[in-house]
Amino acid sequence: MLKVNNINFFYGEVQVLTNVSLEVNEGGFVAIFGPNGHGKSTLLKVICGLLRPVSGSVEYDGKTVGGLRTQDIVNAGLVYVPEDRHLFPEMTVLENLKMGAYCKNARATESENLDYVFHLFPKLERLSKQVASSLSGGEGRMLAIGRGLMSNPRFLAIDEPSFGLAPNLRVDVFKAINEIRERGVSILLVEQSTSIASDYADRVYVLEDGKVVFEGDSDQALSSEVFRKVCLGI
Amino acid sequence: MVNTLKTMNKSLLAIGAVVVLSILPIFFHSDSYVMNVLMLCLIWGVVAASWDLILGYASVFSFGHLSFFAIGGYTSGLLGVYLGVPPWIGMLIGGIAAAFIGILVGIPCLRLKGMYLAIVTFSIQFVLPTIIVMTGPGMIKSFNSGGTFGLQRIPPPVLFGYTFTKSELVPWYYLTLVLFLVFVYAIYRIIRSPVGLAFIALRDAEPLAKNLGIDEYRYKLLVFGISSFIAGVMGAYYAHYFAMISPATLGLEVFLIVLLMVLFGGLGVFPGAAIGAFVVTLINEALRPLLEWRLVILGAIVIFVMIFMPKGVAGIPELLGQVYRRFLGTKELRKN
Amino acid sequence: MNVETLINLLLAGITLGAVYLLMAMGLTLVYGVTKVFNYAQGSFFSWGGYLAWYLSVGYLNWNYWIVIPITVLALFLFGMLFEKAIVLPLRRFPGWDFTVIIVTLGCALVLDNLILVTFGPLSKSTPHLAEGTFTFGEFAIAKHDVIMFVVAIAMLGLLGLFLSKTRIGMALRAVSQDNMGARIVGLPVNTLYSLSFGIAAILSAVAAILLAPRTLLYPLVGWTTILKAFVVIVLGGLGNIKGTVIASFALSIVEIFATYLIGGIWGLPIFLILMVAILVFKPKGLFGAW
Repeated sequence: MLKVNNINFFYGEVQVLTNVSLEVNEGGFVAIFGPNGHGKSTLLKVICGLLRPVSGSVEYDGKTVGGLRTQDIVNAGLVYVPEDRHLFPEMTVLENLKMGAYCKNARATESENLDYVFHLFPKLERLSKQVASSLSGGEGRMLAIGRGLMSNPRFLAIDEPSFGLAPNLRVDVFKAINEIRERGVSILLVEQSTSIASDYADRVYVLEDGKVVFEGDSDQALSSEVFRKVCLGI
Repeated sequence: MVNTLKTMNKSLLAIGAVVVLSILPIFFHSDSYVMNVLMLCLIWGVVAASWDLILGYASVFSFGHLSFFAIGGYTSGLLGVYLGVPPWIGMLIGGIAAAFIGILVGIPCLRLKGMYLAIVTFSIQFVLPTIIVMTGPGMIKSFNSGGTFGLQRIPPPVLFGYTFTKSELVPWYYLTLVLFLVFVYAIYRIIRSPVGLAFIALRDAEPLAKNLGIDEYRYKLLVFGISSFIAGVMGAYYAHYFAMISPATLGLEVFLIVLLMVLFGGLGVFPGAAIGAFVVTLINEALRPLLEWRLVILGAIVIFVMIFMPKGVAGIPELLGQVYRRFLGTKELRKN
Repeated sequence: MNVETLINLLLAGITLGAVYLLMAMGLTLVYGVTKVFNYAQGSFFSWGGYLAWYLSVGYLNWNYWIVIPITVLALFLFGMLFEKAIVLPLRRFPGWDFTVIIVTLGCALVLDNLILVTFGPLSKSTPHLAEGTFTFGEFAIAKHDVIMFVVAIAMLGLLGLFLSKTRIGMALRAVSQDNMGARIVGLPVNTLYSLSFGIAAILSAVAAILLAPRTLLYPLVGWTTILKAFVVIVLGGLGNIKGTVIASFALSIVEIFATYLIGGIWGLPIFLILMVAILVFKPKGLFGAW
């Protein structure tokens, strides 16, 4: 469903991504691990059309993401949930969610999606009239994912879903993501800590210094030396 | 070795320029129009250079620079007309008044963010004319700033018993040239001084500069005061040369023309602004036959320069480089 | 001062405040959504007024009630076109926030002088929206002023409702609160940029149609009003809606009373003096929003 081919990306003179390729099958769950600052977030942004690579291409559902406008990318079902959430601070939780359903494909199913989001994250329903800037870290993260869901994604790209959350919240977030996956949404996520994510992912990539140093099924990962060295420090 | 050559080249150019400027009257002394235009180039050259000091070097979004020009002009003019103050003293007082108000306004305003500073200084400059108009004829007893028509009959300077007069432009020219050289050189020294270097440090490596303890605010205030002083003195000189000064110097037209001078030579590139003054003044004069269309075209030039030459003339090589690289880049991608 | 005059002055102050607020809201909306401060907005005002004049008493002599919606629509389209053609392309350059300022100023110069070239320097007068005065006993108020008041407040109310209740309005707010968030959610950000310029142009056109009968039309007419809007924004805080509203009414009421008590053309200078004075004591604007 998603094919990333030989992406090269520079921040000014510094090469941040070198010949990165990856694949996510339809309905798959792929995790990208690696140390911080080694290009994982940048890669996700390139995939979702927010940054333009110097060379290489991203194919989603057979179409090239490259020159498309963000509104068309979201409309096609490729939804990005960033690490710093980018919520609308002065809008309520409900308004934030409604904004998620703005694009054409999502408008018709707005109320069903809303029910589903509240089912996944019951806390959000209780907070629905609260202004987004007053939410805690975990609540904001849930809202960001929930808002992404409102856009009727067929592919969800999440950056560090559990970063900075308390352990029990982390488990909840991943459970929710897995539930979303079981509904048929392909998942690509980026994580710094491998513990929970590797349980849920089918395939794993490891990005170090902007290069893919490991790719394989998640059960292969733990036995791989590279994986253990880079991600577990062993 | 290369550096010394560069400095030698620059010095030669500078000397050449001074020589050329000095001998121009030999050719044009009979054409008062040309002499007048040349003097305008020199006057605006100083004003533009002083604006570049604050806008280009200190990166302060001050859009009120011409206010100081006008303050200097009106101060000296009013002192000359009503109190008979000699123009030389008037110019000095004008400069000091401008600097004083500059610092007064700068103290609260320089703490504002760029965008807001632009709006505030812009508003100040564009509202000043109304104040001037209000203190015009008949508004206040025994005081008349001339209103929209301007303050008239401002006395000319007297040097060693010689009274400058409009019928003899050559002495005026040399006087203007001297002022131009003095101030442009002063600005050059400021740029090369620790103050100027501090600004270049702030511009190119802000966190490091601040770590080294460079107090941005103080330096900005200092430069603001200096550039306002220079503008004020030139404003006063302008008033004594034309024997009048009016609120027109505070309008959008003059604002954009002088800004264009600063931009033309490149922001923060010495002596770009002074050169820009010559270029833009000549363009402006060349457009005069077009009457009302002159300003339309000037506005279009401003837009064009901002879009295509954001670094002024200094940026043209870089621009060409970018265009070249673009073509080269696409070729490389196609190869892959 | 008797009660009558007091009420009259207060009403005049509130009316003017509402009209300045139209301009200030336009500037704030544009800035919030696009992060561009449109220095050419005064020229939108001027063109709005001149277009209305031209279509009605100036040349074509159409019915003013037809002219008004045509002018408003024309300005709306012009505003959107202006953004698309001039502002949007500049975004790809580094340092575009400075470039945009100068470019909009250049456009203002061009637009103002196109007015001069097309219509000449002499003042023009546009029709009042209603002739005559209402009288209640000794109390008289011009009908046009009443309409000005009602229309200005109504436009502001409509704008508020539009921004808070409609989907597009919410989208505009979203872009102004978090541009990246808006892109992520798939909002048509570029269209919304143009829309904000268009709305600001509408507000300017309405303000011009309301004010022009009083101030007359001359090529720089837009500047007088926009400069006051600038001061309102400086004091109220860019993007701070409540602050802008309060600043607008406060400044206009002071202006009206000062003009009445001291007389003359003290309007704009009062704004200026107040602005500098307030900034000296509260460098972050009236509400610390800077």
